[in-house]
Amino acid sequence: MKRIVYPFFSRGGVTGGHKMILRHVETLRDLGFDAVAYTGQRNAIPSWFEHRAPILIDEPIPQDSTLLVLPHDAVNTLRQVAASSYETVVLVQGHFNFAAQAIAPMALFPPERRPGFIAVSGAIERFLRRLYPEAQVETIPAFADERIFRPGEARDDAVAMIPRKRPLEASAIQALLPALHPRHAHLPWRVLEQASEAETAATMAGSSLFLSLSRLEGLGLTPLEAMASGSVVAGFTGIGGREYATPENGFWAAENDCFAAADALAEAADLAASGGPALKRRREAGYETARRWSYAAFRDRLEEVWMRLAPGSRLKNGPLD
Amino acid sequence: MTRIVYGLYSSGGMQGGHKIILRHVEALRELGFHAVAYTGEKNLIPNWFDHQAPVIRGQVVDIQRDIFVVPDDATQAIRTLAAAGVRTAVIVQGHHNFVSASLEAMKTYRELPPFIAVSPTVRRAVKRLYPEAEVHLVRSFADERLFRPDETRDLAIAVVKRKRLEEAAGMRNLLRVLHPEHEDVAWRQLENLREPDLAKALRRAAVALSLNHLEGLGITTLEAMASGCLCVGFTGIGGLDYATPDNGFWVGEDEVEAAADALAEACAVAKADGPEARRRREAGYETARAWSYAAFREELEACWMALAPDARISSGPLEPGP
Repeated sequence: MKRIVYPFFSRGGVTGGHKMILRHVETLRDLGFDAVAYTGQRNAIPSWFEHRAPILIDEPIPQDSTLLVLPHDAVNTLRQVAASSYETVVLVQGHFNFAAQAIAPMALFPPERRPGFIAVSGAIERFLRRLYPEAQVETIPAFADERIFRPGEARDDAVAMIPRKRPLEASAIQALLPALHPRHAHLPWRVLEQASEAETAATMAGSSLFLSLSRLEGLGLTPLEAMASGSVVAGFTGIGGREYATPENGFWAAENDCFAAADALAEAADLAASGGPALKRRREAGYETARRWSYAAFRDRLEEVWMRLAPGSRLKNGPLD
Repeated sequence: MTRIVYGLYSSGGMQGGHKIILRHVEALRELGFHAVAYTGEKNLIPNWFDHQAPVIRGQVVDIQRDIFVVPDDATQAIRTLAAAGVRTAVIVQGHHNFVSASLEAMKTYRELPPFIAVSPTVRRAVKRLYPEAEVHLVRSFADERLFRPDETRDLAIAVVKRKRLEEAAGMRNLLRVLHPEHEDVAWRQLENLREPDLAKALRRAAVALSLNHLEGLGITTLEAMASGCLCVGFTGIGGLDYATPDNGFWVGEDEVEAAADALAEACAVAKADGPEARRRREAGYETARAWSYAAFREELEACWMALAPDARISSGPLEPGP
């Protein structure tokens, strides 16, 4: 029986990937698997979301009784583990970043110890299968957490956005909307920088619109969270978002085209202002998409995959804690 | 008699926009216009390219005489010039930057100044923002006096990756894994080279990555075409003004995996070095000729003959000095 250990290395700040890692651990324990997270003493523990995952800090991790789930961007750890005897699975949450950082350390693993992968989206799965046709690739989709992201009772006419990945585009679109579409000049902007998950959820639930500033994504979770919250979404898919973006659930613009994104946002704002059945249909399409990328769907898939990868790690059929 | 003063605000580093500003001044003086560049006491004067443009520092602009050409992202200068009532033209080299930095500041002008746009894409953006604006197209250029092909070139990929670090690293790694037959192609990082050295390096490389991102135009890619490189990658949107299926291996914005595949295709064409390579290089030369210094100089002359004909004080080149 091996213990499942998810290392992660945070330097502080909001990184969606860390949330997903701790949700894996937490949910595995709810399902009765022996799973823990691991981090270094010098790393930060994310405090921007609530979780119940136990985290080992710099504790020895025995090689023979551990199954490591390494994030693909932990490049130094990947290098070390390649030379060890740890059984390893690599969790890939962004294929663009994987291409830039992880290909070289992955090549250090000897053929007989080449790790399998867990991908958080179909786009990442296809990418990994193309790169490593022989590898075992499992998909456990990331999710918009329906326990946290849901529509509020009252909603203001306002645009929520998270500019982290596209600061220039964010300020350009913010300037273009009133310049090109002055009827929307009055709309307030709710800029989420380093906000907690709860604050983000409250802002999304209370805002009619969400500007998607996804870029070079493996999936792009925040537009899904906005859909789950009932915001009308406009902006960029970040490529990974093509997994879920449809003409019905958002006003999508070509990548990097800020003028097109401002026009798309204006169209979304027109719809939000007009209300009625068209708005209802649009929101329903968003809810429907979010349901397909829900915690419930994630949990089912997580259980299925880990029953295949390490059934012996399931200690009981109920929560561990 | 009007003097044309181009504002230049560099805090060091290599920015193509600074080069174009000083080339405007230099070419205007060759055409007999009274033109100078102006920079602040604390600003740096770019030294990564050679130029003959006089740069004055800290002298007060003469409100009666001067027309000041302010860069699109010089927000504070725009506000100061508007408040002082100085006759102004705005040179827009990147419409994303302009929109992001300066739309609010532009509202402080009582009367909208004329614009100089460096590409049709930028001109369309400015016209959309200000339909009533006077917008002069003075296209930027790949300088044929510097960027030209060599007789021989190496099987190498030239990379100037200031704007897309992660994408460049991704393309390189993916090429190695997905197309190992091109592992023998050398990878040349051309960071922080002076313009003459960049020109030398480009003319020695068979292939160049186009890492354009959020561009008004994207000159480096045009310079690579002028040097005879096969160009591969992203148009950066502004590059749509010159990108054709013949002059490059273009992929959708941010599509890194597709870019690696396109790079493999370009490497194969470069290795074969046959009619397809010649056809594509010719298409690149043709494009570069359409975006040449000669074409720029004509548009610059037409622009300033419309904006300030009285600034032309000689029918021949002006002597050096402000």
